[in-house]
Amino acid sequence: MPDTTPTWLLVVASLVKSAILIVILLTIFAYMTWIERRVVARIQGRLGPNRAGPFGALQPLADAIKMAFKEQIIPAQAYKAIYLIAPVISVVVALSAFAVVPIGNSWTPGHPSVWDPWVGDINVGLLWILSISSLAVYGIVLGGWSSGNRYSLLGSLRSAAQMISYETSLGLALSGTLMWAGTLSMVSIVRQQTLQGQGIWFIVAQPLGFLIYIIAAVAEVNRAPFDLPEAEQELTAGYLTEYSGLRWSLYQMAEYINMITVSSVATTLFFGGWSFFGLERIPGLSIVIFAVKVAFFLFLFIWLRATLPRIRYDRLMRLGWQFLLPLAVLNAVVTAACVALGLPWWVNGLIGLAIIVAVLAITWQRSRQTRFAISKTGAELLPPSVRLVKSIEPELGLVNGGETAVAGVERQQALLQDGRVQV
Amino acid sequence: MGDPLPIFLMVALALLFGLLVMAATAILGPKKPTPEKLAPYECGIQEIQAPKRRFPVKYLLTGMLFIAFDIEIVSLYPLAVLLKDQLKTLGLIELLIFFVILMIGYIYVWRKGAFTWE
Repeated sequence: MPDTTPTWLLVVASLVKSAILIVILLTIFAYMTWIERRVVARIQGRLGPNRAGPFGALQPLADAIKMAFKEQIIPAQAYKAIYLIAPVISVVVALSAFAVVPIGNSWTPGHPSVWDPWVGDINVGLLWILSISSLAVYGIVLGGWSSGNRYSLLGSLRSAAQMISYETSLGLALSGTLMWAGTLSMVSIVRQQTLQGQGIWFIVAQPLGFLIYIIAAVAEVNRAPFDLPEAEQELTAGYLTEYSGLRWSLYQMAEYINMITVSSVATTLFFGGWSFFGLERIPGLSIVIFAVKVAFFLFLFIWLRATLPRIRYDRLMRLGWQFLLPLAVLNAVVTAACVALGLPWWVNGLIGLAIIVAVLAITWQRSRQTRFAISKTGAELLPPSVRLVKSIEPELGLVNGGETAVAGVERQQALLQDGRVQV
Repeated sequence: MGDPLPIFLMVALALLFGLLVMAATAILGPKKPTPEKLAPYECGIQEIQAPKRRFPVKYLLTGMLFIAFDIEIVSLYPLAVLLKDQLKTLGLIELLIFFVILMIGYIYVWRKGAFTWE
């Protein structure tokens, strides 16, 4: 930005751009809820909301009006001030994080102006996103804690533990890209990936870093299959239990905007942001390119939710600390070696791919072992955690050492028919 | 490059938006509280005693581990940014020493069972 820009122009331009950005984000949030319901319904063989307007396109509007006119309840046991401020924290943090994301090329390349399509280009852009999105945990923890409800408290604690567990892997996975880019400014990171810069999207140098980032990001925004904080079967709605109406909407808003933010970061750092093999020279087109890339990641989030079952809590923590974190460290070391020794990007990319293949092979091997155990007689046994007759074994004095799972079931049914075992 | 003013303006606008929504929802909705409505949601069952608002110490341990790891990772960022053009091999050696120390601590807490959840 040229130093000749008067401060008042900067302020006006920033306010206008921020307002437009907030409106865009809220519109995307509203339509994401509708698209998500339609897509999940289609995947599950249902129709989804299709009554309000053409294809149900007015559904978000109807929802918003309904939410606005709902009765607002402040539970008698709640700490009122914290209970009211917590959703505001969540949504402010979610919106602020987006301020440094460049959504398109500057209008006249080479001539920066205050109207370029990003709110602020600070030289610690990525650090801003990371630090601000760490604050998101406050909104959730304070909301759950101040509600005075067991479900809320448990949900918010789980959420806090989950978010901080995956944030380490997330930060480390991004450091690999930083080594290639050599800058923290989001705009410069994108410029590095255009043809004028290094000419590659960093995904080709960082396949492993990208995979770690995307897994950690899904956990970071509490989406399925990592949506334990709001596991409705065990915790009703987790930290959201005592919230209703627009206060509840604020939390939903924060969740979806966080989704958009992590998708934008993935796009900017790994998929070249608004660049597309030179097409980005037309500024209008660069925004479309960015939107398409982000939309792909948003669809991925919906797809994951409709496909994968929720992961168990102890496994969630183990995945974060004992699987992703060492892999992220490995990725950082490999990348640092490649960058420091001046090796070309494809060496780093090939090593990353090799590590991914090796990890997948080992995981597949081990998952076979946990699914079936081979006994001494060569029969396939179910692992102890799945065996059906285990609990009644000791008092009957029976041993099922060598028998197959099917035989075990048959024997148990026979015992039940004899009346020797009461269910 | 690097004027942070626009970003703080955006934070202010976002805060304004959040407060507006909270004000709107306080004005628009009906207000007919009853003791049942104000009771904590327990799936229809009467609450026996109020929750203690205390939490298992296990979460505190996770929090402490997070501080140890995340702060060190953020302190890695300046090195990562400067690695390509300025630090090169020296930076690589520093980074390896850094990670060896980090991994010793990591293996220690792993062996102590800090990552196992019941």
